[in-house]
Amino acid sequence: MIENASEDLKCDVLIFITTSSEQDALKTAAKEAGVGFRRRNMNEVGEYFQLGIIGATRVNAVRTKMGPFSHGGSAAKAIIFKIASGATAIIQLGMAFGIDPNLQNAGDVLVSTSIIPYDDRDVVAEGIVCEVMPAAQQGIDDAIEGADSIDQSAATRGSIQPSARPHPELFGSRTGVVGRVLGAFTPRRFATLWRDMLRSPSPAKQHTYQTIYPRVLRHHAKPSLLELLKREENRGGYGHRIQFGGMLSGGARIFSSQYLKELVNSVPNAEDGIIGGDMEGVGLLSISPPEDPLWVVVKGISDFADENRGSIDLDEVRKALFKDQRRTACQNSARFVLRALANAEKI
Amino acid sequence: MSKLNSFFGSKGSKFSHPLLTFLEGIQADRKEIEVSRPKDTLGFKAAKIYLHITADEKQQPPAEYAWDDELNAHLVTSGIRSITADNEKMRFALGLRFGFKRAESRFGDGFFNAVLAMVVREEGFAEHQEVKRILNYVSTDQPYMHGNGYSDCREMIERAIGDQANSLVKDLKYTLEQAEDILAGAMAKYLDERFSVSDRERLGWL
Repeated sequence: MIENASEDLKCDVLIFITTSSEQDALKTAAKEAGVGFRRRNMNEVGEYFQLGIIGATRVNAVRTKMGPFSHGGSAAKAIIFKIASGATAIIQLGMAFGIDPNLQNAGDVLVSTSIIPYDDRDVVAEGIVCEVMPAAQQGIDDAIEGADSIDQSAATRGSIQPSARPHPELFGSRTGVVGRVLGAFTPRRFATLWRDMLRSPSPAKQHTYQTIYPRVLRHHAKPSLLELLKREENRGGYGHRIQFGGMLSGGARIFSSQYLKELVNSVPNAEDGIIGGDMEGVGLLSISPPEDPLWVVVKGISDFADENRGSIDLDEVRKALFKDQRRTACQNSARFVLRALANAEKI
Repeated sequence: MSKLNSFFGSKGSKFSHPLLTFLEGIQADRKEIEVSRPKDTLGFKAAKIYLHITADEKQQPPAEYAWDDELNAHLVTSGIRSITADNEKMRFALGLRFGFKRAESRFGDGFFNAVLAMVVREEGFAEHQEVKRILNYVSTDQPYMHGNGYSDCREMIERAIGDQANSLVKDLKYTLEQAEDILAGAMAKYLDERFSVSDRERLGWL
């Protein structure tokens, strides 16, 4: 039974963590810093961890669910715990994805000078990809009637507008799916197949879409926290790099380098670059107006949000390596933050 | 001669804002501002400045501007008051927030919170009812007082408060009694927001 400890919840800085790896790393870093990591509870808001005084700062930690949105996600917990604790700053700690494996290493620590909430996007229709045109329909009928006298390419080229094909990758070359199976069809069979497809009950028109980010604004982190962390970076003594810059943040679990590339190229660029991204930081935007932010995100790189990340569970060796990277990412970020707090008053 | 020549010697040497330029050029019987900062469900909505002007005995429709710390500071030094004393408290609470930023950045949240609470408790603010009530719910630690950090931080905080106090008397021409009431009220509002006191009260956690 955990006692109700509302008074102990009062603090200056709240540290937010999400996963068990992050919790373990913070506990280890707290031990190294000579402070506790006591599980506590306040009936009205739930469980938290009391670290005590680090340097001149009273610190507590809160574990959230993954992502910003859900009940118990970073947004909900930030609002509740900020008010209940009277904290004047929140640091989101843990693991993040980097954006460039050539320039960054797993374990490097990212500090958000700003958050770019990429979920705030517009998805708009781009153009028509499949439309049954009268001329096309007539072409199919002609093709069927004169099937024996037309060649295979005429059957496809004459009937359907090239740009109107539903899956251009299938028709791009003879090596595509259609190209490979064409030989199995007579011209008449092929034309009939097209007619049947076009007469199927699927919608006559389908639109492609594109995602645009005109409303995405950069939200700047709390200057006093950035200054604290910058001073710690300048003190040095770390075996990993510490990078300051903009961080993408949103609810998606990204396992695609192409999508990540699209994001980086589409959102407003940062004066100090985009260095990575996470899922929880965006929830912290809920706690304070943009002109008076109370938060910063400090996370170690555990992966690069690419295809490799998505298939890690299929390979035991890579899985073990990834687990190690996650641990390192969590430990590096936790140590960096606690040392920064411990050294804060040594000015 | 380059077209860039027109930039030299004429503009841009100091903070400027269309509102300030407008105010410099207008002959008005009354120039005042109103700071609007509606309470949100929790916290506040974005602050706005409304300019109230009466010229030739005609009251102009109020013009709206987004809150800007520097703009406000220049409006204060230009002698433009808020429409009421209570509104002035809200305005100066934002002024204190701006004024404290340097000390907060330099010393960090924990140390700054501790020294600020100490200054407020020791320098007469606690005698003011509004501050006294809020202080009951402000919890801070005792700062380490034997290093340079403490005296530097305290000095920066006191200077920031002093700047606001002097503006009330010198720029806005309030009497000392009025200025003290506004300054203390502003401090109460600043502490209330910083330490989430009203929000805790609203949620029944006090």
